[in-house]
Amino acid sequence: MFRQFATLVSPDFLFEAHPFELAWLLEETWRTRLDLKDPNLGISLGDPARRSNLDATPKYTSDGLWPPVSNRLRPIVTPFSSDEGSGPRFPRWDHLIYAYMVENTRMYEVFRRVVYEFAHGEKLGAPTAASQTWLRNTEELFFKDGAPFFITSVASHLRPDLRANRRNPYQRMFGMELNHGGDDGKPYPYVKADAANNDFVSTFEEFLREVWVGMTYVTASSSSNPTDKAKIAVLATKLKNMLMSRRQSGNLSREEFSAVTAMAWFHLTLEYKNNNDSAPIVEALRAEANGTEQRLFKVAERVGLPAHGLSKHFFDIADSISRILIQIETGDYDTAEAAPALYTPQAGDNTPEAAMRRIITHWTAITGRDVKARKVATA
Amino acid sequence: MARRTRPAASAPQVQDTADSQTSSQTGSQTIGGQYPAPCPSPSPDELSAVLVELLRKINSQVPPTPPLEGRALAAVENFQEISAELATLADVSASNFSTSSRRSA
Repeated sequence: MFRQFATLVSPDFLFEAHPFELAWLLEETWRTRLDLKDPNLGISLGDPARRSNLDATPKYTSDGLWPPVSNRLRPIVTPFSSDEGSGPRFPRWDHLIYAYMVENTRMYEVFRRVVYEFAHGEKLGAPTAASQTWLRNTEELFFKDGAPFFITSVASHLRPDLRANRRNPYQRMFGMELNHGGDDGKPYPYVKADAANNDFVSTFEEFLREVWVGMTYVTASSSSNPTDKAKIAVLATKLKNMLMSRRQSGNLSREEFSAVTAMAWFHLTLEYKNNNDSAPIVEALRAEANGTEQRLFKVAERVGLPAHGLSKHFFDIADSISRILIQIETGDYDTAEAAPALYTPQAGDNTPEAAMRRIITHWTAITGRDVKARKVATA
Repeated sequence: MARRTRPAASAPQVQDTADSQTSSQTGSQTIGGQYPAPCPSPSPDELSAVLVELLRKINSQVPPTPPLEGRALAAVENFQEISAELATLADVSASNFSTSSRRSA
């Protein structure tokens, strides 16, 4: 969410804010989320347009000057107004796959080490004045159990480990584990569910492969066209069904919101900015560099915990795959008629086809499996 | 380790045989192993002009991307709506997204 907030206010305002304000901002985001619950629309609970039926703060807290945020942050919770019109915002958050991809860079573990070192000594030097608020906010929001009753507080006596609390939904939704274990290199312990989408990866790769065929032959005129629109639709529906099965009645929405929020905070810290200015903690660590992954590598070097060498691919795939999976869950590609949107080039870079190209490129790099290669049938 | 080198290129040896007699009749060689005088090489400008013309012809023959309609078009529009709702600083700076674009419930 913080990366979306940063389009409305300066990221510096977020880094400098009081943790109380940031926690309330997240509550307000959940409270005002896109929630199409009109029964006439027939949208089931758990759908991207109706993620949960849980309330954040009680409704009376939304009156008057609530939520308690400073004027600098108020644009985030203020109804939008533009030439096109005005009205309340209905925020949406990224798909859980965003958090999974970004966490694979080992970013969370690297910053955990940063906060740990600053909290326990001066191995990294003394934190600068500007980085003090970032350190406090980070520890308060992402390395504590969270305030009681808050929607992002998913830790409890029953599930006390925040890191394990993210690995569990990753395994349930995608049948995948993070590529790193604990600091000691051993597999990270967490509760694995029996009901998990173990076919997600194979189905998704088949989907990517079929879309790539469509891209290859979209303008073919002098050869046969092996694009199989019906198969693309079948695979999209299969993905939708398995993902939505885990989301029944709004299941996993809080966990998703919490994971996405945490990863976005660290991602924003690293991606801000690419014009030779940096987040306070990056400056404090003397980790300025060009490019999000290069800053991560430098921070990782400072604390002696290597980040993943393919971090750029994880960062670059995260937004595109999040948006495409939200669309798949919405059912946008359930019919063969809609399939061409995935492989037909359109003007601009903000299209499903451009997103699918990015996903195919980076997925191939990350997994080492070339989804552009045709499957070879064996007798 | 000895480096393997490619043998130096040399002009083909033309043998004065029946074969060469035959080929001389087609004009590819002359009796006695002499090649005809080489054609003058085109200048770089001439070459690039030919290439540009060739590319223009090839491009004019590439069929246009088929237009999207119906559900496919709706899917593109919904993707753009979702992208606007999830726009980040990078999106805004890259494409001047309108961050005010929000779906109404």
